[in-house]
Amino acid sequence: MKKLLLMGNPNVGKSAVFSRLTGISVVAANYPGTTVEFTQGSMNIEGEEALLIDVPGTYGLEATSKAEEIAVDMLKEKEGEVVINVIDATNLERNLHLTLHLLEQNIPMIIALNIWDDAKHKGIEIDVKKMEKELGVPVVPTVGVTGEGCKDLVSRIREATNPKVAERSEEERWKETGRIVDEVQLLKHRHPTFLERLGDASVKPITGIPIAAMVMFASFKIVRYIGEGLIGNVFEPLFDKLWLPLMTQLSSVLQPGSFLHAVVIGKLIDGEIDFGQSFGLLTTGLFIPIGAVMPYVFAFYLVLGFLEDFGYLPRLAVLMDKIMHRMGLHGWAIIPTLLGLGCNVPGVLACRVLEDRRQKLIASTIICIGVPCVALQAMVWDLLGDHGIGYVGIVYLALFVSWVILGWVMNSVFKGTSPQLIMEIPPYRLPSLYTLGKKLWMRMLGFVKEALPIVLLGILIVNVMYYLRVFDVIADFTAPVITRIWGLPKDSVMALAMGFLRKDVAIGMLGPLSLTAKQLTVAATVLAMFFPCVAAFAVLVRELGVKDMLKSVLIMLISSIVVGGALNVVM
Amino acid sequence: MVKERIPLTDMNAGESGKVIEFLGGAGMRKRLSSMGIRAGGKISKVSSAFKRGPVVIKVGASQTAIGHGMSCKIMVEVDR
Repeated sequence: MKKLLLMGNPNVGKSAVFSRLTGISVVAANYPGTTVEFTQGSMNIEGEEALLIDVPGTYGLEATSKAEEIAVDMLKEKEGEVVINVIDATNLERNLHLTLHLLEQNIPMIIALNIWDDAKHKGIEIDVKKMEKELGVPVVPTVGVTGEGCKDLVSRIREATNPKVAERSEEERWKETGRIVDEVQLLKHRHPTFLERLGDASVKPITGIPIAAMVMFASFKIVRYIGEGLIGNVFEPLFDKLWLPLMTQLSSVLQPGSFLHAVVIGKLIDGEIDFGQSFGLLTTGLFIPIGAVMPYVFAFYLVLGFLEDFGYLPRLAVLMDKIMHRMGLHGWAIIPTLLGLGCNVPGVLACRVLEDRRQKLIASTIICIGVPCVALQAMVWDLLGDHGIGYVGIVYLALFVSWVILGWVMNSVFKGTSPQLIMEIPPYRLPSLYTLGKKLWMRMLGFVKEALPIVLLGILIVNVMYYLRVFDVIADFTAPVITRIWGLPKDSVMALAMGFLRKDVAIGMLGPLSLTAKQLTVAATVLAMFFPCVAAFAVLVRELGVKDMLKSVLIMLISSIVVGGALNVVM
Repeated sequence: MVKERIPLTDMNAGESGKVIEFLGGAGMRKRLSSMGIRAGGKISKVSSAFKRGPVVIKVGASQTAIGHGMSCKIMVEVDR
């Protein structure tokens, strides 16, 4: 089978083209380094099946990060390969430099001249025919996000060829690039657009910092507003009016007191089903992920998706660079951190773009400790919000302070220097509703597919363990830390143990324990910090390796004991 | 026009010039060069964060942010 490699500089729209050609959805965004793993899918070229690989973006063929390494390694196999070189038409010179280098590798190639629509708007005229002649390979103008030109691209893949050029030196390559650009490109002078001026304003400190504060505040407000609105107006009524009568009937059929009733419906609170406290598979097991968490997942990814595609995140990275240096990182690390606010799994994965092992260790550890995922946050709002917004504020503050201090401590303790930020700042682009919607849908689907089974499994385990009284043994064993240091009742150990599986269920389990507001605050903070959930743990092992993972976990345990203890004393 | 040779960090926002040399190692030079920032290339400065923050420059059509430490080592000839 033919293997097609989609290659090019970061942030030129490879993932969008990939989605169009294979029909497989992948997460694309407007910042360099969205794709850190390669995705592959099959596509049809005039009746023939071919394998298309979405390769992480690279500036050169000498890798400077793990993600780039993947790209360069993939090129070495050569057997039956065709490269589809995706280039950004608005940035011909830098893109062509990689193109020339790729041509020297003696692999058949075709060029997708992407972001063609933006180039036209920007007054950039490119003579495609001339470009084909200069480079000796087919060139097809495309617009990945709308799919324009993608059919032409597919129909011309057969024409992919290699002009067999000798290896050039870096200097010669730049010279040749400059010559070709002068031949094929015509720039029309024009005034900067509003988006361009806004783009510049958001990296200059004087205007950028107020803009950043406004963006963060507005994002937070919008997520809260949509999340709360969906819960109050859609999901709670759905559960109460439609699902509750069904479950009440089922409850009488199953007979309260039977094992099956305990597992499926759970405990009755004052003779009735309580979706927050009953803890049966079909009651709390469905309510937590769908009724309480999903509305926030939706709201969060709606806002994040917009910021990603608009191109805001790299600008935030520039503004945060100096602060992140204090933590041994550089500004780019703010992007995994923000992703971590949705779910720690993509957060840790995104750390792959960071250049060295030390940075990856610091960034992933402080994400797992100080960055609560949206599922945990939703449950904290749900449970602690009733006691007053101040308590929710304390949880956020405790986590934020731990994030900063731990970063700073790890930077001082682990020897090494933090590399410098080098990052392309993409232009602001108005996101298309189609791509935004598609990305949101994918992330929602991912949440339901990954969260729901683990939530249900967790609740099943809890019910069985309650039934077998296993928790009593663990409770006695862990009592010193839990009661003496954190000031929590012994039976909260079940919730903490559940934290290994899923944080939202764990916080939910605190509900029936009738804790004080202070105890809830401590427990929520500890749950956020002390250990990643099983999904995040799995990527942590994979990305850091066993040795660094052990270091990371040790730091998590110690800091949760310290911070939980401190809150218990101070509050 | 008088040409002055200064590190990128000393250039004012809005000014343009030509990169003359990199005082850093080969690794830094290669990385910058693959992003289009190379000796002889024209650049203009978009902004710099106050106190040791990154510098944002424009090369061709694209903008690149470069950490302060590295920006100190990029020598430019400014058009003044």
